[in-house]
Amino acid sequence: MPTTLKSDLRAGALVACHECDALQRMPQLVDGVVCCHRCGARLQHLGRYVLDRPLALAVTALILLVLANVYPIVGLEVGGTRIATTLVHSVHQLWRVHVQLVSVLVFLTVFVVPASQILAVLYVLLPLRFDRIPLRIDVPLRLFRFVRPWAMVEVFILGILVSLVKLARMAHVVPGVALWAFAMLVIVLAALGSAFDPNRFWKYADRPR
Amino acid sequence: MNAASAGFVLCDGCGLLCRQCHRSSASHCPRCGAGLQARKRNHVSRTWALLIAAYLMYIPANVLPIMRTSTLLGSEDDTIMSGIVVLWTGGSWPLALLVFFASVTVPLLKLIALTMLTASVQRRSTWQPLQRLRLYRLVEFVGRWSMMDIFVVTILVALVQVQGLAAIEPGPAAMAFGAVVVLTMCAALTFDPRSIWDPVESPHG
Repeated sequence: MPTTLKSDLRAGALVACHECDALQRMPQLVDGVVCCHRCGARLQHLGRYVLDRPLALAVTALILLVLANVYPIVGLEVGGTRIATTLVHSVHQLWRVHVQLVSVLVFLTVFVVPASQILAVLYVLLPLRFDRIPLRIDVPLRLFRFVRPWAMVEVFILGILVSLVKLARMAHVVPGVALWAFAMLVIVLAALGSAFDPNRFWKYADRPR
Repeated sequence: MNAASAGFVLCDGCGLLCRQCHRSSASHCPRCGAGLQARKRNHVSRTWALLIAAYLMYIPANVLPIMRTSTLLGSEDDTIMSGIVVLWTGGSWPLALLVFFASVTVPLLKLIALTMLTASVQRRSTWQPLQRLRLYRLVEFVGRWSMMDIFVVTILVALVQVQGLAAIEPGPAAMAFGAVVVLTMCAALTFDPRSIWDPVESPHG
């Protein structure tokens, strides 16, 4: 093997195109999409474009979370009376009937924890997308990992469905927009969890004193 | 080969493998600054404390009513178990099974499994470490699903508030059951699964 090729292999800078098998050097500092010089196949995402997928997911999740809280989850029609509930309304009702701790628990696991995860991701990725390093990046990175066990939106969906079935026997039940928003939020949050790897962003943290 | 016996520690904050400092002062991760600890602090005693509290709350959670339904015909108290029976006799047996699984099986499984795991770690047992780890993974995975009943009560209470016609209120078991869920989840978080292998690596250490 010629010496330059050998040293490139050792440096990990060589790559073979998965579509046409051309052997080529991977540029290190290019910002954007790297294409095969022979056939144009997309080899790898570099630089700021790697951030686009988790960023898009985080923005989607934020929109869904807003929709899920603005619109009613489910409505009930009994003999002419109509009542619907949103997440905030349900949490408030629990507080009103003196199970305050349950009220706080529900609010935390269904709203606060997913919201803080989404905001943490946005705080990290938005500045980086525009080539700026956010201040105190260690806070959202740690937050994202530690609150993860407490996000229970998918269990909430199941609980809503069970209560819908229980109620359907005695009244006409109307599923609301928020129910679908929560269901989609579960999927988007799961995708975000796999697209966003906090450990890749530690290099932007200040050196700890 | 354990990382701890080789003098390495995995940072809890950022996942960097660091060399353990042998000075008595606490060492910190060079990348993220988090405090390094080879095993979770006091993992056995904290887990026991949380488990005992969870057992204590488990009794009122099942004995006291979780929901009070007041209709024109009078009011009716339902415990977790009686709610399941009502569902079963009413014909919705898939729902009855689901609620039974989420509200009876899962919390009980977590309590028994975590008790067994913590006891085995405390006694430095070397029995089947991989199976014990799988049990821990199962506990971690199913833990959140026992919250389902709390959410069911939340929606029912929020919707059925037609005064004079029908009203649903949460009973005292709601708080107790919520406490059981939180305590068992915290117990699963304070338990350090890496300690399962410690007596296997160093039988006399």
